[in-house]
Amino acid sequence: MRMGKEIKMKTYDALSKQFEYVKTGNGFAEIPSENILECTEWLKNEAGYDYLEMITASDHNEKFLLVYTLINVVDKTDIIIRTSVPREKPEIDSLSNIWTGADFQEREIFDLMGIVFKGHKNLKRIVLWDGFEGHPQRKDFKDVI
Amino acid sequence: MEIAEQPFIPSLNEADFYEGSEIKNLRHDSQAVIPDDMDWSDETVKELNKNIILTTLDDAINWAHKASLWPVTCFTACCTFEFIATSMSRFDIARFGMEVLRPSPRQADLLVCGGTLTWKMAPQIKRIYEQMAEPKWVIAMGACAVSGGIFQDSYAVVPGYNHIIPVDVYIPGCPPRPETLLYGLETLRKKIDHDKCEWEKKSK
Ligand code: SF4
Repeated sequence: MRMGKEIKMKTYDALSKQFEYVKTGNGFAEIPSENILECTEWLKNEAGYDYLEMITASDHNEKFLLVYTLINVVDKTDIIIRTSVPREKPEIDSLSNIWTGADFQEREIFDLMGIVFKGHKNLKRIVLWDGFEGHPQRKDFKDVI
Repeated sequence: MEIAEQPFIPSLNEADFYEGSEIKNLRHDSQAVIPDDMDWSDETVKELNKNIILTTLDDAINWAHKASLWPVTCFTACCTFEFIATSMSRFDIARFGMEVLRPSPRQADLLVCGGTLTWKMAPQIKRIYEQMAEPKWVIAMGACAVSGGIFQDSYAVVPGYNHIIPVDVYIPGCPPRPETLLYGLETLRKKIDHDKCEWEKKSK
């Protein structure tokens, strides 16, 4: 895995050289939310990170943090992209047109966290039933029962 | 010193003679057929006397009910495995006449609710309960079925089956051991023992 780590560090460096808004932290790259499509497309087509492992989100009160993990299957490395959206306007571009596997995960995040993915073709609840009020993974969620 | 008596061992001819005389005696005694004790004459009263046990209707029906509880195969989560263990040969609920797990609710009269119930699953459970024919009983098995258990505060979990359907016996535990489940079944049998013949009240 040593080699994998070096390749990963190289990718982080290349990414921050390619786009000047990228900030590399300790094992992840932080980008503004409006550049997510540009970044992931470059990683897929140029750097070989062609497998989307997972998307997840967490609630940080004034903002939502979104974490994307991409895998380079050939080099056996992964890269972590972090971005955040404001609580008042939780919107971000959908990756479901690049990776079909993002479809269900984005629907789940929309369902539980209430983040709207622009460009998603079928953005509706996936885990909870239609007509459920609120997004239960938010910190300020209160159940009616 | 006494010499122990020798056992009598007949010769072959003697043995044949004894056998023959025994059969001859039996034939001599068995000339007439042995009569039936029962009086098969037409007198109705006599007949009834031999066929009637005095009891109350409640007792008889309750006895029949409690001795053949058939559970429906409908379980939602982990408590199921304790029920499976209970129904297998080690604990063996066949002793109570309830080893027949019915796949159809219409043939069953006991619903053992084992496990966490989510709101998404709740309509199906309610439908299964409504499909069961009267009389029917419900056992809530495990902490989740009693009150929602460790998932009580969850937005997705029903806090107890009694929000959905009427429950007769509550068995606590996470999961309850087979002995506890058997105790619960025994409690249900006691409850059935005190039933009155008015099941209509159950189905609103
Ligand atoms: S009571 Fe425990 S064992 Fe039973 S369904 Fe709930 S969590 Fe599972």
